[in-house]
Amino acid sequence: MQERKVEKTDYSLSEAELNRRREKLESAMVQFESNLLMDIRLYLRKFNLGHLSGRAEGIWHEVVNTALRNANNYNPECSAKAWLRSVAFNAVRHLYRDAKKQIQTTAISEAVRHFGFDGDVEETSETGLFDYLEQKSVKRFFKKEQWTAEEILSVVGEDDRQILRLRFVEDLSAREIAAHFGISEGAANVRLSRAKSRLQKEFQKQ
Amino acid sequence: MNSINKQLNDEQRELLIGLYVEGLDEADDGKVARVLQFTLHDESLDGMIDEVNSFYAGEADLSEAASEARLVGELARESFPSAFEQRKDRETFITLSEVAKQMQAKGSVAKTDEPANEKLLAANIPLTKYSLPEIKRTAESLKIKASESFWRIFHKTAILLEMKHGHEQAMQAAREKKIRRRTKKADERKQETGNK
Repeated sequence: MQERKVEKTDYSLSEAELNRRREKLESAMVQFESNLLMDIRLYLRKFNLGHLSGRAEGIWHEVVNTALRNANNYNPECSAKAWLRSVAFNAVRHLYRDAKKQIQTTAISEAVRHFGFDGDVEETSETGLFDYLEQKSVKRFFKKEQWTAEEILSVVGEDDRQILRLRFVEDLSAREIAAHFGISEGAANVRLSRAKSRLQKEFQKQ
Repeated sequence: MNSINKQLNDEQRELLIGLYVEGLDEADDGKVARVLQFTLHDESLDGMIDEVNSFYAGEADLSEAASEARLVGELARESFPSAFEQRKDRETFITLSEVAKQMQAKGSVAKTDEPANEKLLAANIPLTKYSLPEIKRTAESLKIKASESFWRIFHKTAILLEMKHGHEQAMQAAREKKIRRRTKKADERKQETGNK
């Protein structure tokens, strides 16, 4: 059975504590407004809601209101920016789910089923999640003695081969890979994740 | 919500970033939401998510400045189509060097990115496209390397400079149009007086 904790709203906060949390959130809102707006646009685009990108500012205002209204649920030990990003993502997620209901499609990831994981990633315990991720990690291919690294890498294209070789044969970190290619760490992480995903898919085909 | 272990190691962060990228690329909201839960307690992971989001935003050209510039551009095109035709004829684009000069003047260049900005100052190359990936590609072809934050500021500066430039040109076009109209009216009046 999965271990679940139900988050409870803390109604017993003093007015001063509530104000302190709101102030922390407000300061993050001012400091990271443009980053969070960009995140909202990104999520809209990635979740096939690009046609709503003109509403990004409206969504941001909703996020601000929701966050301040629910400041009692914000744990001040956590990063305020990360919390606001989660609230922003949830706002986009509601729109996505509404849109999905309308077009009657199931968005349960086929890839997750493909790799033999029937659970819901979001509802799985932390241990379960990391077990699943490690199990599907491409690292395991390189640990098997039956294939050489080059045999494994031969199933993907040159660009993927290059980045996977740096990661799993040369054992470079994403930061080192970024420096190697002269790109940002974010770009290195995205390229690496996509290359791993393509490698997994090629292996599934064989 | 599940309990979160506050101490993540590098390997776990890499796995979570992989899950996040997968979630975005496959539009799987559950995966993205799950990873975002971990960012609440892990600053390094939160920073990595920032980097990944910036990369995606650059890929899709989603920065605020770009969106604003696009919107302003669309509105301006609708309202002053003639000014834009004029602009096309003139083929005057801002250059990498002009953007670098503006960055230097505003003090927006970090110490570590100064060598890159120096090289850009000497690059009198017109910028015909203003997307972040396009700017980076141009810089890459010139073997100029700088930090991600430098390129983000450079991108924003380029857009603002282009908007200013476009505005000045539109104003110039309007001034010229006004002069032409006045001259035409004066000629017409002269002709009318002559006819009388």
